[in-house]
Amino acid sequence: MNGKKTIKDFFNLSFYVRLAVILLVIILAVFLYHYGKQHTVYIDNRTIEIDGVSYKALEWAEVSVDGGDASEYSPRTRREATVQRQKHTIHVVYEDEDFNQFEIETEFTVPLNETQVVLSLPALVAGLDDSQYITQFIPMAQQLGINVGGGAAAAAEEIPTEEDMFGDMTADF
Amino acid sequence: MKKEIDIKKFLANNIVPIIFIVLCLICIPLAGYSGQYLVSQIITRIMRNSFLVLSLLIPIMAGMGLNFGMTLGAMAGQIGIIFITAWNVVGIPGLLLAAIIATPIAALLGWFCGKMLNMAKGREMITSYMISFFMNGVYQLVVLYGMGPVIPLHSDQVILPRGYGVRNTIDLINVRQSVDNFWSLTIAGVKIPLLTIILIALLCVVIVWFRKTKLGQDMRAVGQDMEVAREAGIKVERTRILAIVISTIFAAYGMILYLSNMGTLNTYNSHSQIGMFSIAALLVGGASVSRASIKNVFLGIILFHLMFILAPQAGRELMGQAQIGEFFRVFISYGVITLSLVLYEIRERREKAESAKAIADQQKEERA
Repeated sequence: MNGKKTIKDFFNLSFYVRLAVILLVIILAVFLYHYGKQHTVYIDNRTIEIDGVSYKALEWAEVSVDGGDASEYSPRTRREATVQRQKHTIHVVYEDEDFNQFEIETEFTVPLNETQVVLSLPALVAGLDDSQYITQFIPMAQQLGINVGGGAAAAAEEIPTEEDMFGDMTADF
Repeated sequence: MKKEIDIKKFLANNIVPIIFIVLCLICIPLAGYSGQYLVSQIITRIMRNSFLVLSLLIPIMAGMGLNFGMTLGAMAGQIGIIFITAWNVVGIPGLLLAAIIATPIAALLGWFCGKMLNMAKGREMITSYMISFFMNGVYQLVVLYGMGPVIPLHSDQVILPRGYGVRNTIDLINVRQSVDNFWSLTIAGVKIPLLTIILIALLCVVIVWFRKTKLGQDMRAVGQDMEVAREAGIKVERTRILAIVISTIFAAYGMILYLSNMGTLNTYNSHSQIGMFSIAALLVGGASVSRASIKNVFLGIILFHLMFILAPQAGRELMGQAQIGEFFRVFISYGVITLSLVLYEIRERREKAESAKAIADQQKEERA
């Protein structure tokens, strides 16, 4: 009798069951990544220029994200909201210069791979698309071209040494 | 029929837990901690370490002794945690994702360790210990030089400012105690994390059930006598590899739970401590190289960690320095492993001598 396995033996029921389980786990991992990924949204009420058009900061606004606690905004205010998942609802109550009150509720999507984004309130209430009023957060130092990752900062961060790599038996467990 | 209690035998079999109970009884009044504080600390440490220590049971069942190679699983768990921290995936979804990432790495490392241990039958413990050192080097290489340029991770929270390599310490604030806090209740000021208890209980049930399965029975048979098991048609090598793979995967999950409870990851040395301390805790609970049970796991964690809590304070009260208590505890940790190994060897030789004597007596009788 020939003891060699044929291709038919390889692609048997258990192969497909295993493949299905692996695929399920991969799908679960992708879902968990989307569901559990945390984003910091900096809600910004500053005058902003997009495509050559200037959007003036709101005189007063009250903002809540996903039905959470509302925060008040005056011009040049920036507050952060920590959110999970990509799709969110923002509820904005704002006043113009003549104290006329308006209310707007809209959905926005945070780009998946961005951990920190800036959401411009003036651009949002002007009815722009979320791809326009949500921009990547770039730290001030990076915007100014200061190298925070090298030089003195890098020297201050301890590089692991051989001592760190041995178990410290006096440490707590 | 009333069972006779052989005090000498009882003492010989339980000398390690007895020593620890006596030491703890001496240290409790010296340290002067309140009962509530001690109970709360013990519960925290049971929740933190049970999964890790339970992962050691399966290789013992398969006769492979104490799996010092559980460090490999801990490394896999740490890699999972590093990834989710860099990706900013938080809470329980983050921990689950870390477990999914860690599983194939742990399985691969476990398979490698099992293969090596099959080549070094009879010397499994020292081999697994050396494998853990060897893989530690590979881990350091990957984490210190590979993460950043080769494995694309760009989080400032994780990567060193120089642009590659993982930081010495990572703050796990995003997953810290997310399992413990998900569902818990407080009784008399002591927090009881119910979800963690359920997870640990589930693992205990799985271990008990596993012993009754075909694979579990095969492992026990292999543990008792490899040659007899082989004669009975059991694939000995495969069974032994599976025991190590399962143990390594459980160790990876245990490490994830441990780190989420601690809230900080010491990238370069968390895993190396874990193997030694988990094994010490199991041995303190009265387990031996060839026999261990769930009861040993919990008794060991309670006694071993009671010493962890009490020793520094007792040292401070007695000598004025907490560090002396710490040194004492370190000496006890290593000492208990040595004592258990020596006692196991003595017992083995005694049993062999007794069986040889019985055979000789039987032959003498037959001749007469």
